[in-house]
Amino acid sequence: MNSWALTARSELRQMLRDGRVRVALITLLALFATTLAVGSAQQSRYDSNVRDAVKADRDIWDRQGVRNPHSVAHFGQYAFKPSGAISLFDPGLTPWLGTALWMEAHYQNTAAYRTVDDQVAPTLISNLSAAFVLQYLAPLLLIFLGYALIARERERHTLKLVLANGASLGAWAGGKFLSLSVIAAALWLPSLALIAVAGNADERARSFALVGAYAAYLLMLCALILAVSAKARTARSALLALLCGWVVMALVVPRVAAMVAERAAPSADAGQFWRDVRAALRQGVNGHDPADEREKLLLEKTLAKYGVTREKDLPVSFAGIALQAGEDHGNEVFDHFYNQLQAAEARQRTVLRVASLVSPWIALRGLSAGIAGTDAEHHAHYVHAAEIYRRDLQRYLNDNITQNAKGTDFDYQAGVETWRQTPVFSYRAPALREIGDSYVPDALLLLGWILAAVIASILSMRELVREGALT
Amino acid sequence: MRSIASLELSQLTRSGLIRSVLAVFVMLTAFALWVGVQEHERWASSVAAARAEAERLNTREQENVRLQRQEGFNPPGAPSAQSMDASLPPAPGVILATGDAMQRPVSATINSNTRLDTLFKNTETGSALSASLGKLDLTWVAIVLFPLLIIALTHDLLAAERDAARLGLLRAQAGSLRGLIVRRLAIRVLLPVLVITVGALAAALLGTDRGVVVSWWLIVCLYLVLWSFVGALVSVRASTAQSSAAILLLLWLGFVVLLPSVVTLAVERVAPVPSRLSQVIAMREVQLGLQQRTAELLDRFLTDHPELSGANRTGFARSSFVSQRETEAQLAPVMARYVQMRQEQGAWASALSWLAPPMLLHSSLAHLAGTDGSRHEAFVMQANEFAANWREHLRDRLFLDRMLSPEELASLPRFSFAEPTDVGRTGIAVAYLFVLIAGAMLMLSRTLRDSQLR
Repeated sequence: MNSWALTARSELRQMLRDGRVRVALITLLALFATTLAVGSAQQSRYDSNVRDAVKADRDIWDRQGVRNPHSVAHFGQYAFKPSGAISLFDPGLTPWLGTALWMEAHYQNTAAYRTVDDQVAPTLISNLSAAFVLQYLAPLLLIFLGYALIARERERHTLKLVLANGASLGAWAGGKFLSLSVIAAALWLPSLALIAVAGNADERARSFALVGAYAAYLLMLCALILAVSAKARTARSALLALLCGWVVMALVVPRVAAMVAERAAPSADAGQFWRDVRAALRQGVNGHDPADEREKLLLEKTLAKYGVTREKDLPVSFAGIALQAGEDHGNEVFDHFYNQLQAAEARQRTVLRVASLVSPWIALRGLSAGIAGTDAEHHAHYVHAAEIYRRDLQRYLNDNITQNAKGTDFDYQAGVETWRQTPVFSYRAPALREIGDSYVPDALLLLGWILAAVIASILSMRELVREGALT
Repeated sequence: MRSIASLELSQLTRSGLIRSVLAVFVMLTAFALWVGVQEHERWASSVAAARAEAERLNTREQENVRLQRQEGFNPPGAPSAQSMDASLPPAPGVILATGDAMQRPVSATINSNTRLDTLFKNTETGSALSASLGKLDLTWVAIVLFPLLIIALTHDLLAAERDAARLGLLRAQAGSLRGLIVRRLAIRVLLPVLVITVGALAAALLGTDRGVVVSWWLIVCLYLVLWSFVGALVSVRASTAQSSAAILLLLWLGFVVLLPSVVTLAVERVAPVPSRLSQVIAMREVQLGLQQRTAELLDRFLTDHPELSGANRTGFARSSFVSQRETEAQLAPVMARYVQMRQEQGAWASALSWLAPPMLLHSSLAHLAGTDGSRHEAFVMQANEFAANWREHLRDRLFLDRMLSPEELASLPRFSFAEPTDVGRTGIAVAYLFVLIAGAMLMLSRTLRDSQLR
């Protein structure tokens, strides 16, 4: 057995000799397994609710009797959001995002019914999930096991003894790192279950990426802990530095960064947003106000197009044309305001990425939620798909009025087949390969942290030699 | 005795590490106050903008009636076209505890079609990204981070002397061990309490309700005292300062980080609220059922209200009025079930939070500040009552086709939020803390009596 393995085995034996460590390790693993099981149950319950709701809403839509298509447009449909691909592991932003979006005439609504609105118990740090265990709790266990790895040897002046036995510095430090990595691997190993339960190629790809990201993150932590342990004068100061680092990086910096991001790119106030939208909508045709000058202008243009002088001579219904003009105007307005919201969110994301330079937790959180399909990017994809469907549906219904309601306009009644012919809104979340580019900055930031941690541990080892601790 | 206290204080403040940690906590307190002020301003400006817009529209409508100018679909002064805001003013203690208050809608537009389930339509425009990372407010800093400062100050209360085998010497100089611990503890807890006191005073100066500040300060100080006694107890019992720190950190991890998360998860599993998606489907079913029945509903409504004889039986506003009321009536059992399950979940959360004092105190402080769910629930209830009054006020005019005069428009009802009365949660929190402190003191006293500290 080489000296790496020997050192690692000896360290591991020492770590696991302590009953408290064994209990902590088992507790953490049990917690991890529990959160995975609970997450899985929650995801399948939610998915089943979504499937039922989609079916029921379509059934309701099809059961509409003979009606005016514009009444049907106002009745609209609901776009229910399926859960993220592997939200059982990391719910990400899911609790703060809406789950159902009403697709109605004239309005691009926001997704409503957020889980956070139903939550009554306050959360001090974060909701419990498998990602939470690996992001927050696993580092603490690694800190408690690893803070003294080198610092204690230095304190006890046992380094000379170890090296006198013929071990090289590299092998000795490598063995220490290996021992901590074995504990990290034990904590990480259950996450491989994600790959085993993946239902399709995309879920498998996401699971691989997620498991890989957490493996990299835990290894980075091991290197960082080793570096601090080598640098610290005493084991106590190593523990203090590492715990302070954990509190600052995991608890304080993300919250400070969130506030800074909010200041740099303020989120829209809902009330103000909709006041602005309504004001902008009033600047165009709405299809319900024949006295409006813009609608009169549209009528003139339509009459000119068909070469007639009176509305009743038109071969089509002007009501349908006016309604669609109102939709077209509304689409421009909504594109403008929703783009502003997305731009603010993109700026916030940039600020948070900058903050990742101080805290790897932020980079990991972003990457983890992105891969799990539970971040804002995936939500925006769902909202966009619903909006495309809404616009197509409105155009279809307005065209139906235009073609068939001549002379009757809003009194026109269309048959049930008109609604039954409309396609079902079936949302498919994007595959990781379609959306993966968005997460490259987070992945690079995490990679940067890994490199920094490795360099820091190498430098700390060299310093050990330089200061004469080993000679 | 004074010399020992001043020696202790000078020793503490001489330590570079302690000075740095204290500086960090002072900065955190200042930042948290700034966050609170920002949230207060955001809330106040959101409410003021909603109020101003409602008044602007009302004034504009008065002008339209005077000039007989039609804007949009409805004739000037049409009862169904009038609306008013119902806004929740900033909570009295939002600077101290912002919580997730701004995640909840603080304004609703009330008109004759307002329904309970659509009171807050389209209010989800806030950033989920920053909301998910949480708010660093003063209450969070006090409940989550200040215990760490206490741990840093108390973990070596006695263990350091024992590590260095100086305990006997110290006892010979300082008299009784109990007295020595009490003096040391008092000095060490003084620093965090001082920072919190300055923070609370600053919050009062920034406009937070004085009563809220005093109660908040009392609860937080007692919480810090509790941690100090726990710190002392562990420090006396632990074999070394290092193991004392490790035990205290594990306690912090368990009570502050882990237990609240476990309780939240357990509550959601034990008393889940009905799926909101099924609520949507129930609403859609009701609406579908009512689609072909508006004429019938209108007839029934007018038969039930003979005072409206001569009412116009046509028009969107009237059919919408009756169908919205019918929808609300048919959805009432679904909504009631949701409210009941939420209350059950709340009861479970309250019961289980006794296991995790930080969780109980956090929710008590948020309640005290008015940023927990209960004040918002009171707002929803009052906004619905206002919507009912609004409908009642305009109903006859709506059915009898009577337009509102400028004077009637000016005197339309305005919403005013009545602060709910406190149900004594502050007292419960204080009593709970006293019991815990007494328990910790008792255990400390027994440990000191029984131990053979040398």
